[in-house]
Amino acid sequence: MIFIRGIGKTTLHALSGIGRVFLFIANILANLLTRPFYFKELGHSLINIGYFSLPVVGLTTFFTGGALALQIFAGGARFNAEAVVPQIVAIGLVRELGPVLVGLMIAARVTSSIAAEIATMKVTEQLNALKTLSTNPIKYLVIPRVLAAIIVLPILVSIGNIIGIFGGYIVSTRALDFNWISYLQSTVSFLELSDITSSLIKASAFGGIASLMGCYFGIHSGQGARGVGEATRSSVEAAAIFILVANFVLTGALF
Amino acid sequence: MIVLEGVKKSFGKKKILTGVNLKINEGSSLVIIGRSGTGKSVLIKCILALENYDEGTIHINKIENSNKNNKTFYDQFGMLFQGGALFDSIPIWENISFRLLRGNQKISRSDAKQLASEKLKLVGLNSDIIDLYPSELSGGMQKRVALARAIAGDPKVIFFDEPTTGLDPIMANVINRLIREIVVEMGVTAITITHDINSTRIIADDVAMLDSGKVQWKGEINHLDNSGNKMVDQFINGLATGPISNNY
Repeated sequence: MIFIRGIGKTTLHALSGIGRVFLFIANILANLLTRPFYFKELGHSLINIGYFSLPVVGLTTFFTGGALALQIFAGGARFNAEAVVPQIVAIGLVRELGPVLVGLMIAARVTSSIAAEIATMKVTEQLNALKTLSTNPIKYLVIPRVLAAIIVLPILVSIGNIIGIFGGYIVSTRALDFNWISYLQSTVSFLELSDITSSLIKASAFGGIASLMGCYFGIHSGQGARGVGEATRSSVEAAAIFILVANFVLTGALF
Repeated sequence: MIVLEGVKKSFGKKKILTGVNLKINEGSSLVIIGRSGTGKSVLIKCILALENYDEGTIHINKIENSNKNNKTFYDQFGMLFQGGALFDSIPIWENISFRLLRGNQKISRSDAKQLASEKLKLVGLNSDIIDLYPSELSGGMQKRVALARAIAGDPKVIFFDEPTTGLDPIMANVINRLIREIVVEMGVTAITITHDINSTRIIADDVAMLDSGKVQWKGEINHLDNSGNKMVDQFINGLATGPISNNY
């Protein structure tokens, strides 16, 4: 009986959480197209989420591209298919690893930062102060961050894809004796437009999820340092899980 | 005029406000006193529509405050939060002129900076701190900046939530006198919540005592010492025993 009650309680808790997230999204959509618009905040968010994430995105994708080249070379050697390294590195990064890795890095870097910042603002009554200063926190804090992430993630993922392919190229040409011209030719000729569009669509979706989770858990945080800590942890967990679920769904839809 | 009738508010099973009735006249300075945890902050959050109340009505100039979606609703208010609640990512002048840099009362950035400088002088601060960030100021200075922000949009009603908490006695006295000057000079309606009797004596025209979720006594400041109410007597004299419950 206790076991069944536990399942029921957990299910209700999860469903009410999903319901609150959808209400939050509805609130964002209701405020999206009405004035005022905070373009300055949008600009700040574009720089914070986009520009300042470049180092971590670059390092992550560069080393992943290099490691991928080594793994594909080792695996391909088992059935004399070492030559597919450039093609598999390119398609693996552009269609799958680029968007997912960048999405997860953004979840770690940006989602946590957004959640901690907004939760701290809530704890120190800055959210209430915004309201009393005739400023809607959804418009001022949430919409610029969500829009910025949706806009900037495709750019970050594109840069990440290029750096990742470059990582694979460096490893392949320096350590695996690939010819640099044929490597580049293989990469360019193998990739199709649909690979790139699916990568960009995923990137936008993951950006939206990452920033949305940060804002949601920040706005709904509990009180005190513990509330801020829990909001931050929950936001990263939720963003990572939803990014992986969305990746599966989108991969199926765009396959 | 602000009129509260039968306002009730609970958090779960905990009843905070159990039927608050209160009238606050235009241009008067009301101080709400009471022990910590008696719902004073919740009460002003209900008036400001920052908290939803469970029962009762709150009318501000005959308009019910549940109409908070009205875009000009908050334009009539200024609020000094207990901890200041300054935005730490923007400089002092943008904090003070925050309301005036956006929304219905928007002015140019140069005018906003000029106005911030004037408001800083009004609260006794030098305008050379205008480009600093809140974290670079002491607690007392932050409180004054928060006070400057509260009055920057020339609001009709200003709320002060524990304005002297965490300040040394001298700074507390400075803030109390500033609030009194602002209220008199600007002719605004002021609602202050505090458990500091010294603040009450300086700021108040009228005093309301909140306990057990209700207003237990309301009267003019001149009558505070001879209110005839045992709860008020116990509170203002800081007596450990009396009708005020020790339980929260």
